[in-house]
Amino acid sequence: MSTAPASVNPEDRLFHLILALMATRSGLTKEHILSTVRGYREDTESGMARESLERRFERDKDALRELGIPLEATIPPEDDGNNKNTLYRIPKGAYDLPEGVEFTGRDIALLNLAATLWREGTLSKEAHVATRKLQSFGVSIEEPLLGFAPLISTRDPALTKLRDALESGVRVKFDYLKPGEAAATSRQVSPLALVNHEGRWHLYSHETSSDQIKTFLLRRIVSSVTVLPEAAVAASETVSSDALRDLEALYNNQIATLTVAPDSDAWSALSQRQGTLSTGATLEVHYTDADIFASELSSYGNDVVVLEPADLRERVIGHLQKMVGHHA
Amino acid sequence: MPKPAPRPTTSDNLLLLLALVPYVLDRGEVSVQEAAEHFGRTESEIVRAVELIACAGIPGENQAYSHLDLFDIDWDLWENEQKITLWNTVALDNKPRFSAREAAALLAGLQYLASHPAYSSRADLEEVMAKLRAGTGESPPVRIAVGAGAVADHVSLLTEAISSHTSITAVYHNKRGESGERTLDPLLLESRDAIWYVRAWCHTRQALRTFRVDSMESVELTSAAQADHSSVIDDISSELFDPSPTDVVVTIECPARALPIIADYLPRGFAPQSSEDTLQVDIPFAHYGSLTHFVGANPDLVTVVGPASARDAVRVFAEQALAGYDQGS
Repeated sequence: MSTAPASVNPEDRLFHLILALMATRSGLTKEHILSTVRGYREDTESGMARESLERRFERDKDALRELGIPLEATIPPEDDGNNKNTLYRIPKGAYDLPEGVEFTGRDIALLNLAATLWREGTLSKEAHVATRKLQSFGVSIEEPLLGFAPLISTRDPALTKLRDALESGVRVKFDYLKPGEAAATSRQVSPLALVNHEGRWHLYSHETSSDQIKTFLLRRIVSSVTVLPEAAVAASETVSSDALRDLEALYNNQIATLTVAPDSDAWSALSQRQGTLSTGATLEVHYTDADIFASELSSYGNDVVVLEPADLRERVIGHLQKMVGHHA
Repeated sequence: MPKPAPRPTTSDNLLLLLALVPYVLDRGEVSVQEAAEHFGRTESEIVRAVELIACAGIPGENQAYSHLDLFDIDWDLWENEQKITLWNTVALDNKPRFSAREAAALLAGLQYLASHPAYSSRADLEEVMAKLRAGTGESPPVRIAVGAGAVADHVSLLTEAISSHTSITAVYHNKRGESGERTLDPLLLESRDAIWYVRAWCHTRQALRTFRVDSMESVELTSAAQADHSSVIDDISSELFDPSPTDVVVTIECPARALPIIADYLPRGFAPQSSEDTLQVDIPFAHYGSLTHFVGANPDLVTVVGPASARDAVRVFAEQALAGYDQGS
């Protein structure tokens, strides 16, 4: 290798770190890496402070893990507790795509489209890395599927913490504000799945105190989410489809009877919801959450009057009265 | 949607190196130009990446990066024809596996696509999902999912109009309470959570407009072909509604936690100036019909501070609605 310039650029160093960690069978110590791997070696030789080098190594390890690269750290049993002897490696078997997995150009076009769904917010990073990894296939990718751009928001502040908790299999605690209640209550749950239903994120979970399955709407979580040390209860294989099925059952079972002005925006939107029946100016419309649906109905103003159920009618009246009160 | 490509980050550059090796191995021989197109990078970025790889390797036994421990390319082919062929690889010779998180994001995305009428009939989605699961190695239960939900009937018609470049007619109800028949050239179908929008060239307005799909009725394909809108398609912004000089700016008050819920209405690039629990935000609205709809949809969260005419509009809107319940004031 030609004499390197004083500083090797970061991707060059990270690439060499990956190669060195993949080539080793038994693992490399930090000392060995800092003094031999390109990028570290140059800076060690030019006299960079040891602390700076070590901090850089820590950051590099995080950078690799963020790209989903399986970096292993093992402490040899005889050296228990001495992290100087920690051995680092990337097992090739865990890095490589399993043999026999081949994506066609069409598959890749579909996967790229699936990734665009998350182009905003907390899942966008993983989706982005995944599409870069897909570029390692030599097949020619079919024309991108034009004219279709789906997007799912992942703006709920609780989403990131809850995903982390799901992944590490631990319980969480948060304050939850039920509509109609004056104050939020603290809940402790084992998160089981995160599902997006009718455009809103829900946490499907096992509540510790009641020993029951509970579904929480993320936008009603009013505190930050605290990750607890206790292990979460196990989830079944079908947990996310169970969660969606529960919400869909709720939608199918709850029906409101409404009078709706014909030829209005409200009529157009409500008559197009799944399962709506119309008789004259009366629509029978399904809904999942009474409070959310009441807000939607208040947004239509005098184009909609709720006949039944009484609870929904009261909520809409309550919303409208609040609007009058706040703007008197 | 076409957007200026952001400057590649270190991660992007590293991922390029990691993907370029197996890509070249798959192809056998590949030109700089082809690779640049494939990776969406400039030719000079590809040249830099190839030159980095060609000299890369492992420290090896003598810890000196000797030539036996380095990648090697066909230098003649590279220098004479700008074509890449790998003669020797070190450690890295395969495509990277997806992490469990990456696979979960893609799987949830594919499941969502499967609910779209244009894709629901396709068996290949199931196949891709199975391959993706196999590609992760382990398969823990799927913990993130997006419900199919109901898709308006005309989503299929709109998809057809977009792919066949056909004009449509539809009755459209706007938030001003006006309804009318329009002739549209649908260009892009977009969903934000459960709400579908179509970006279309409006023949009446002679302009690009965004329409909510569930505010459209009596959608019909015409026999007319769309005019060429390719120049307009490049202008489609990532914002659904662009601010206009005729907008009315309304000051609202809301709790800080409401910001993610009302994000679609907030001015572009909005960031709260203070860490107060209650915030005041100026939001542009095309007309008071949009304002009353917005406040009505978030009655617990949003209060209009001013101007006075906006507060009046919201109050009158709610009073008129209450009259339907014999509770008008």
